[in-house]
Amino acid sequence: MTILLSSCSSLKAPNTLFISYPVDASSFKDDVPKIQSRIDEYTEAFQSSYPETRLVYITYPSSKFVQQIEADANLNLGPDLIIADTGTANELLKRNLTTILPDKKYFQAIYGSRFPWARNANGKYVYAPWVVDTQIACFNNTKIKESPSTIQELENLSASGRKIGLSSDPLNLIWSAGSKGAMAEISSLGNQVTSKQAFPSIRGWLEWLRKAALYNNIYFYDNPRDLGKNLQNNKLDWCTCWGLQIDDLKRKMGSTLSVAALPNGMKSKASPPISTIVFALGRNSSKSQRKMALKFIKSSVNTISQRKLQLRESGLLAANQNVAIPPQSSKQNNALDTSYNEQNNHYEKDWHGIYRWLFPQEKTSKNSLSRYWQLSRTFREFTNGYLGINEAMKILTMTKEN
Amino acid sequence: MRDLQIEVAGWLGYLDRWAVSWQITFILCVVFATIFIRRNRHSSSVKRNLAILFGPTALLVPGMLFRVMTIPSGIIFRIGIVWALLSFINWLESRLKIDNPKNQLASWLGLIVRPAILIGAIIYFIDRLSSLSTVGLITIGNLFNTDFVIANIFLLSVGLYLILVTSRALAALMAYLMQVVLKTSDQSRKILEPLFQYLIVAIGFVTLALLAGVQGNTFLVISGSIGVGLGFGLKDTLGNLFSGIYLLLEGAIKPGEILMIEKEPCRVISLGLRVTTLSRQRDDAELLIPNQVLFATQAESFTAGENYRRESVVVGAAYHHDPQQVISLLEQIAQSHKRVLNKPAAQAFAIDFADSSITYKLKFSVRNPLEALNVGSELRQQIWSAFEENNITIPFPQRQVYPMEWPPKDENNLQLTGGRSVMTEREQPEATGSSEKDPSQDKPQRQQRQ
Repeated sequence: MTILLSSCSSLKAPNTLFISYPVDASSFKDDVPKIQSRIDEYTEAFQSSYPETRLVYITYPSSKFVQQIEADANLNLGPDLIIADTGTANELLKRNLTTILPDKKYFQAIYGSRFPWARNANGKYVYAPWVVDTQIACFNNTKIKESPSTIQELENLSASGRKIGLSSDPLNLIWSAGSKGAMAEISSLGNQVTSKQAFPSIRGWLEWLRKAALYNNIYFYDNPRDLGKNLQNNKLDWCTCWGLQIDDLKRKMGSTLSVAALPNGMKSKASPPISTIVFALGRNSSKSQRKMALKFIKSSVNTISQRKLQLRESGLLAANQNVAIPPQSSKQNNALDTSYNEQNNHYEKDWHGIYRWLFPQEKTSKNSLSRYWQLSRTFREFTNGYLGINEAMKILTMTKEN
Repeated sequence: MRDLQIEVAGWLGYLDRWAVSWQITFILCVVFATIFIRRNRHSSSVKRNLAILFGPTALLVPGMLFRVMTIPSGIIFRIGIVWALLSFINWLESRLKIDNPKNQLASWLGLIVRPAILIGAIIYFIDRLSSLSTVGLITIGNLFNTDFVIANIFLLSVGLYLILVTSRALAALMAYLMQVVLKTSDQSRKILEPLFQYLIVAIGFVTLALLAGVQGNTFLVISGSIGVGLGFGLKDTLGNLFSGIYLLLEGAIKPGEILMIEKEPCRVISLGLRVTTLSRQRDDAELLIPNQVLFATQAESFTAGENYRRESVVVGAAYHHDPQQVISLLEQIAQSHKRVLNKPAAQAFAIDFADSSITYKLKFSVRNPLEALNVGSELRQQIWSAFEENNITIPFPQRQVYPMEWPPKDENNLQLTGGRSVMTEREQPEATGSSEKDPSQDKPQRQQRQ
């Protein structure tokens, strides 16, 4: 009540910054406080510089995040700042719910040639990348001394009785397409530049997946979150995970947790995807709120702040081009560096086509997601043995034209 | 609680946006103008309706115009819609209540539709100002190691309200369906209704508590605490509740039954959670008797086991009439009455040799217990007519009044009156109507039926 009265007593509306971010609906209750404390931790610089500014966090379930922001914005009650992954940020931009960042030069100096997709045709930034999350391998070092460096070693590990966990979710499984050399073919499918070929690499990838599914100790999970849970509970010894999960896993597993880069193939590198968390400006802010939101972004993406973030070893990578990952400092940083710089960047040219293949650009985001759901179902049924290789091939290589 | 205050205080930050602050200012102006107009309206219904229409119209019409002019007006328009809906419901409710103050539809509008609109509007605006999912997670208290978050408190409140408001209608529907399926009587249906209502309330309450996150052990502790509290504070209420359940299960008192309450026949209308409702025949008054009272006191039922009501008429006939003739006449009168049942057949009895007559009792039965008084009255009238036709007299005591002087002027006067009636000298002329002695004064002045 005191807060309310003090707010009402001042004639001017209090300095408030409305920050919105999506949270997975299935773990909403648990994730909201975790994410909020992490944002608070990473934005200490802003909060100590502007203590009079009140940060109000508005969290929506990720499944209806865009719709909620749209409904808020229609009443001029939209957030000042949105923290989301690039897919969501693009959708918000498409619906005119966010605005372009001013001060092009400042951001150009921060990002350089990185993140070309964060700029519009005029070279202005439509959102500001904050942190990069990359896929790696997490394992229990009491069971596995060294993480497998190739998928052949991974098979051997499972044959020796160690329990391996993989996800049948397409985005979480795409790393193995790189190990099996199928990235170029998939990318060509996404870019619609395919000739009527047999896609031998995609077939090889599917054959490996089928073989893995037949192994006694390789388990496929529909929900990627189950992998981390089962690793904590000693039901798995090795699994794919994301940098964002490391802090949480460390808290529960302590020193028994180790991380490594995902296993490469005999001839090609693994292709771990990355997820970039970005800041986007809302469209309803007042002048002072817009100014404050911009200060918030700059205080989070500047070199000093990003270097601090990198040195925290939180499992996330700085987006600022001036902040390098110190690979020698720890095994974790080494794994993140390998995953991002060696493996992910190796397929830099292919990723555009890969994302097009996963999320085709349709008129509505719903149609775009329907393809992803179709792929999810296909991989689920394929790894469960309901679908044969030919049937799976047919669905995976299907393009708009055919 | 502090988290909630911080959350709500944060919403004030939206006022920093001119698009929001101007809309709030506009809405407040319309609210104050509406209050002013309503206070100063005259009594004519046209002006009253215009006053009701003013608020929503003053928001909706400009809201639409501003929208066309691309001036921010989303909040104005939505508040206008909610206001218009509430005004429409209020208007509809008042219209329905003009003809019938107990109109069921009007009750439902007031109990369900209006709160639903208000709750819907509150939820909508909370979701716009913040996120319903986030606000719902704010903890406002902890009881027995169970965190009570806003979402659960809201669920409990709305759920309990809905259960209490709709339980009666749902129970009636269930009882009706049961009657249709099992082909039971109306009486059984009426017995089942409150039982179903108790069941719905009990199951609903437990389900809501479990949904709200109250754990089984906690629930037991709460139930125990409530039990102790009820033992002291709500002893009578709980007593009435359980008495009601027992009366229903026992089936001793059913809706439609006739009970004598303070020597007055009353029909049982319904057995409720707290009271039994009866209708008194004499004045159609509705009696609300706590179940505990009915449970603990002796009650005389006229319909236990039977639906008909037994009634009797007592009449005297002079000694010189043949009792068989009188009895036969009385039975014939009763049998000819349309509303007197043939089975059990009406019977007349000579029940007493009284001072000046033989007393007869005519016993008869009627289908509708509450018609017994009317039928008795009609039978008495028919008996009088039949006795007149058959020259049967109904004896009654007669009193003769003789005027006299007091104090007596002479002994003759005293002897004449014989001491049977006394009247003062001053009163005499007034009583006779003349100062002269009238010979007729010696005759009986009036006959008085006792």
